[in-house]
Amino acid sequence: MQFNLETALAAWRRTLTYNRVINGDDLDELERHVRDQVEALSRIGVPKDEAFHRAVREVGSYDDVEREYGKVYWGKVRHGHQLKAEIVWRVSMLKNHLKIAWRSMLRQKGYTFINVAGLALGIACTLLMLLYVRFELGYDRFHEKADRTYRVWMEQTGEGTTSQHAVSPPALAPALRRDFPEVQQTVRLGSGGGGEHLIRPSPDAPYEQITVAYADPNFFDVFDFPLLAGSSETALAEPYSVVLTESAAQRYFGKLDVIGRALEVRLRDNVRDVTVTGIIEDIPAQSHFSFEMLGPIATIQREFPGPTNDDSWRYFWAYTYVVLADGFEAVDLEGRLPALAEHYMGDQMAQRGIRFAYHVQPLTDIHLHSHLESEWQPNGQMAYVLTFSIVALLVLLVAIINFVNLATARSAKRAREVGIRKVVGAARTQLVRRFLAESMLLTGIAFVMAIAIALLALPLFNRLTDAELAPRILLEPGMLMIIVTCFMVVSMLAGSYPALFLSGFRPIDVLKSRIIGRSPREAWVRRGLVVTQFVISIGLISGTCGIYIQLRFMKTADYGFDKELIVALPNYSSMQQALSSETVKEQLLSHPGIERVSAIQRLPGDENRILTNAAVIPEGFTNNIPIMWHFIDPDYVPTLGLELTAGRNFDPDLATDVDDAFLINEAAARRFGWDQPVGKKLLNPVDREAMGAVVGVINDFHVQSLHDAVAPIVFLPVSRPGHVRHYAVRLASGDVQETLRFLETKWKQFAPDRAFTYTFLDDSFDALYRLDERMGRLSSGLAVMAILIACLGLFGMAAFTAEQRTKEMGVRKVLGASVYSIVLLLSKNFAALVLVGFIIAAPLTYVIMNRWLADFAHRISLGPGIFLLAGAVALAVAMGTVSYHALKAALADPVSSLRYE
Amino acid sequence: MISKALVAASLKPFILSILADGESYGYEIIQRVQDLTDGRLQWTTGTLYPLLHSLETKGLLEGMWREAEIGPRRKYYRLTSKGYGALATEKQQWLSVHEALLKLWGPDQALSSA
Repeated sequence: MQFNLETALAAWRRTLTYNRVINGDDLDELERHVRDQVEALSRIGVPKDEAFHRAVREVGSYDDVEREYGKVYWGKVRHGHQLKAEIVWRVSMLKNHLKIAWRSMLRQKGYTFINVAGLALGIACTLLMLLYVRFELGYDRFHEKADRTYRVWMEQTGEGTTSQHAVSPPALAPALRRDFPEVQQTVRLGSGGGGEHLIRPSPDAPYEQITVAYADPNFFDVFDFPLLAGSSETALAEPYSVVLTESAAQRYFGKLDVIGRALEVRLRDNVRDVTVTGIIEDIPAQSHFSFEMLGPIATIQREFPGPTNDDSWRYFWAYTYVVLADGFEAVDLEGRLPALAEHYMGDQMAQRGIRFAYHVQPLTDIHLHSHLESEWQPNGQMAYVLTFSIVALLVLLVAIINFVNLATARSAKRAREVGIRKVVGAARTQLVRRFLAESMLLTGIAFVMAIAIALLALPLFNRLTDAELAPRILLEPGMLMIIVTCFMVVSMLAGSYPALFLSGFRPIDVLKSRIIGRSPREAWVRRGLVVTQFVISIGLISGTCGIYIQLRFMKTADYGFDKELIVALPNYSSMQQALSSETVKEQLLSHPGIERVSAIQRLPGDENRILTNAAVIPEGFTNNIPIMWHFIDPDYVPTLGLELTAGRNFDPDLATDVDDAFLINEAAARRFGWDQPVGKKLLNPVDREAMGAVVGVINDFHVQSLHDAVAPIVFLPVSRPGHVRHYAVRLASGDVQETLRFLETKWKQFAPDRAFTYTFLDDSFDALYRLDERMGRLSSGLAVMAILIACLGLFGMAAFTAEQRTKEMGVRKVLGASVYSIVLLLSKNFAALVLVGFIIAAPLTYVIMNRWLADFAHRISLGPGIFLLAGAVALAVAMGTVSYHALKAALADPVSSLRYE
Repeated sequence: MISKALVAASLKPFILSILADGESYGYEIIQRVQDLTDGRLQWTTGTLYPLLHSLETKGLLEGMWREAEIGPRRKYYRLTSKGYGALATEKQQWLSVHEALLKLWGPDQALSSA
């Protein structure tokens, strides 16, 4: 490059222009000096550029000038006007930096866009994940007393098995209040006995289902659900009053002004009128329980005395919450609970041979950490929240890596500019500041883009995760602070590498056009970064595949019975009274599209809220074993397609079967330790009399998700109309729609005042896997993000490399290399990187996936197929990205490539 | 090479003395010092000019801008009457130190130098 004194002088002068100490006059003087010196040196034969270099060095660095002049102008003491001058100076410095950064950005629009877009995507992912984590962690925190509120749960141990339940006896709450001064308040919540609740606002309206809860009158004291109408003190004071949610009121009455209105409620066999005494806002998503209608416990105590009594210790249906007084800790309470259990339940425990223990859990822990039986609704998983936070951070890492890589590569193109600056004495700190300013500008733009992307994607994200994130959450002060902090961190991180790296150039290398970026160390760093990106991407892809395969497995695995084409129809209480199951079956079977019908108590796939375990003493045992009961009819086995592995089914013609016969499943036979189960007796735990004998064994089948192993079950024949809650109908394949229409007509006959509903059994099983499906969706979303960002980065890298080797490619073409071989050459290196990434990712993902799968009682085994697929996808995508530039380089005119410089 | 302290201490007397001979500008002053000391005394631009400004602020020097043929103008300095007075003081102080040292080292040392 030709040295031009005027240009160099101008550049050098510019660097000192922004010095806060010297003014224009001083600068003139210094420039004059430099010129004089250069002239003098030239006269004795020193080349101009070296003379300039020397003269400028003698003036001293920016910092030296500042210091020396500063000593004179400012002396030892800092004056007021100095500070003002300093601020003015700093601001103009920043403006100058930003202006230069902006200009350099515009000059390389393409790269810049890729850089910023990749970073923005990564940040958007992280933002959304942050919101989601906050959402999950924040369940139940909106209650004012949340910090002091706890739920008491129950552990039941008998005969070697332990079960843990979220529900407890109704007598627990009053006892706690009585005996424990540290308990300030207690509240019981019940789910309405598990039976359906139907309401209708007026006699001419149809009945509709509604979710109901029952609570103690002080419910609103403990839980903050603001009342839109009515008074929180009196709303639950009287039995047969109800509080409705906003949307429930709208749905049934069309308006909210309904205090005092009457509603007809149907509960099991009873019809009652209730009065609306309050309206509350809809229960927010961040609550671990939810309902549309709330009534006082007093109501069900009137309706179903006995199990609901305040002194009943034998029935477990109440969710018991306590508020501790200030100054008391949960441990204090928990320590005294064993004594309480002994005192009130000691007799029962001795009699039934079961031990009960009570424990305390914080309200705010329930959503993520509580997985007891009979939870109000399935809770989230802390493990998932953690995993996704980590993965989102990984995606952000990928994005930052890209940013750094590309920024560094981009700067290499501007190395000459850097070189000159250094020659003319720009201090390293100044350069660092300039690059940091540039990275801050780019990061700032990326952040703004990211927020826009996040806001746009929020509805989709909400659907993916079943969350309810409102846009305004992003603007909360807490979030904003986090965003700003992240912005600082990311821009520092992203900017520091190129800044430090570039300002460390030796100017002479640059001026003499020794291309920066060729040093082996830098190349290794870049390679390492690309490999990391692909490790993460391949890991995510294979992980997602694994999740989906496990999900598919769980849905299609052998459940032990044939769950296809089985429809479950409700047996309403009205029907129970009027129609015997024989009549119903007869009528239904008359239709050719119906193969079998069974009258049953509970459906497989159902999630029940009442403790349905009861204890029994199997023959050969001395103590009780808690076990699950099912009421079934003789058609159950054939309808569901089950098999009897020993003995026989219930026989409707045998009178003894009704009272004395049991069926058990294989798991129960194993549990009881019976090789020959048929004929063995089951004893009543209370009086140890035989209740009957086992007549047959059914094969193991799943009534719950494949997360759990098959539980031991005892089957009894349906003996009361009230046992039959559902009809399971097996449909013939063929015109299912027509059969459904037939069923609808029939049900209109059976229950004219009810809306017709039905569920397919495999649908209700699918619903059990909602949480896992959510995981799958999130995982695939993140995988797509990761690979998208990795490709953006790869695109930039490929461009950079292709450009660097333009001359080489030109020469090769001239020497006769084919397009194909050039493309191969350029792509080879990247392919190798992907391969390395694959080698690292595969075992890591294998280990992590196995740990996740260990939670499932039934799981797939991970074969190499998933990993190979993920690797292949990554490779294909990478090659596709790289090929654009490779092809461009291969097809370029060698003449122009060789002229390039 | 001459120690930093000595260089620093001699700056002011040198400048005042050189300018006593007539007005001059920065580069020229540096050149003169180099000639006078055969290159043993080296001043950097960064040290000279601030001092010139300092002396100017104190009123010992007076600066004037003169246009040059190529490039920016030059700033010429010359002593003010106050400057001459300061020079006299400097001379007096320097010489008294010098004489005291000579008494220790012997008069013949003045003629030979290291």
